[in-house]
Amino acid sequence: MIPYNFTFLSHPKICSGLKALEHIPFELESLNARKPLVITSARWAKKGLAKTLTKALYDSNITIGALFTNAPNYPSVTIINELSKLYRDRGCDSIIALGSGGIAHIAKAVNMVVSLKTDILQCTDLTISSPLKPLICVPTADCEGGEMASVAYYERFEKQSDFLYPDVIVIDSRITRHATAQEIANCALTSLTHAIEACGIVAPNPINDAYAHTALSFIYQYLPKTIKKPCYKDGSVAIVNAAACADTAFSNAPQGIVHTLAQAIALDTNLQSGIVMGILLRYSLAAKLHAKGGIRPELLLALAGIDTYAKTPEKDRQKAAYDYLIKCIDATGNYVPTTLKGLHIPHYKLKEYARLAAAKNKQHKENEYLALLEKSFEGK
Amino acid sequence: MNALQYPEIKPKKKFIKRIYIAVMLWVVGRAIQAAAKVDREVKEEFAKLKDNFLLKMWIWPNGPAMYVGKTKDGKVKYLGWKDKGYKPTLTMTIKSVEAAMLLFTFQEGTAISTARNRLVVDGDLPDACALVRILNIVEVYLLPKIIAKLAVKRYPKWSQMNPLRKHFGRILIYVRAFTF
Repeated sequence: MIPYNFTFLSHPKICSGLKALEHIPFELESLNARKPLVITSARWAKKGLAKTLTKALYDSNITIGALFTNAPNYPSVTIINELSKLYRDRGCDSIIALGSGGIAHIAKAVNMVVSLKTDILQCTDLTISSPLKPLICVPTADCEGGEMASVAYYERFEKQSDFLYPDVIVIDSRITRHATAQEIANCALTSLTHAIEACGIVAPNPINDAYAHTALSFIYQYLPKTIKKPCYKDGSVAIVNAAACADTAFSNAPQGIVHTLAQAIALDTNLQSGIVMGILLRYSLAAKLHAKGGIRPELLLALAGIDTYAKTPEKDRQKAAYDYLIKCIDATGNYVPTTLKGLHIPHYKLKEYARLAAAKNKQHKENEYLALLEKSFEGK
Repeated sequence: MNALQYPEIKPKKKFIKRIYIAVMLWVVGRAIQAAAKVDREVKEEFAKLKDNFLLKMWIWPNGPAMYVGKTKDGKVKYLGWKDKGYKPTLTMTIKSVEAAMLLFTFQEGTAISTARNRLVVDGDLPDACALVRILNIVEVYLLPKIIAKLAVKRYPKWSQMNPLRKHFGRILIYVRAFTF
């Protein structure tokens, strides 16, 4: 591999750890902003996260323009337009997304509307050519993938641009420790899939590998304990850090077969995409292990560390990496079935999903998608 | 959507924490002044600094602050907490009151605090390094070993600072810091 033929962009600054929330005023002022619109959901407001954030802004020059605590999980055009109006009426100059999933995507969509001064539906066709307003993402541990990436999902649209990265990602245990075990499983499986698919491409990118390997290492180390005890502070911070790293790696790599299929299924069934990814990933890895290229042995280094990597004979490294990855997926066993049948997806729908995925991502053929779906359906 | 439901929120002040930090800055400032007279190592560190050296250590964005500088005759002096039009050659900004609390309640040492991106230094790097060394020595003098161990990167060994020097210096620094 020639290591210098690649492009890579990671825009966000990550502030993680103890009292990370208190970095927000300084970061906002360095982005020339003093009046953010804070977007969060009723659930997180009820858990006191909005109050925690407000307290973190004490003793600064930052005034919260509006604290919107009713964000739905679905980024609809109505809510985006209403929030854009609120942003303009209050004279805000930046956005803080407090939460993951829909909240982060709503924030990104509102940012597009207020920065490009146009309607959200027109934004879909516009090319973003200059930086948007400052956006700070404060993720909870219920990430669904893409919150911290250069992509925004709203209504049924998907918008990709380098300017859609958040400017700052703040990961604090006071925010991350409130998710449920099911949500953590979903977040970890999404990150796992994104990281594996990002470093499993034909011409791997060494910087992207660094991000993906960090994500894998965090997930392997912390997932089993965090699943058992979702309020475990270090674990929840590590899982969200893994999501941030995986999202960056995902933004710099083409979409993989598992991601595309899981998105198609999740859109149709309203299932969490991470859960679907977890099922598909197991069979995708098994197929890859027996395919020509196999699994990259470097994954073993990321998951098990240098000692195990060095001890394992070269010919066994792929299998060992596979075993470690399956161990990660198995850690979520209480929340994720092992087959698509377990999700009550009817068999006749598989062809439709394969067709949808093939239409969206032409890197793989329809029969490749269908083959993976068939394997995952019965668990053969 | 009823916009009145989502009010504008002005930031409140953390008075008690700010008072604590102001007191700590005053104590540290006075102790630096005293240590520059009492301790040979601190004296040497200050001698290597520029003649117009002036340190501003403050909490972003609204203070409190501490000014310590060298006078024309080369003596080190605590110049108070008010900005009287000073032109600092070295500014150490602590990013928030909470970051300052971690530092001044000795939950984090200066090195850890810098590593965790809680401090912003504006000025010459050698001056900043010298100041961190001075602060470490002052903290060793001011605090009992059990607390000072948390605040400094490496607590000095017997050979680096013998107990006689430490306890005698401690008494002198406390007397000088709180009297004149």
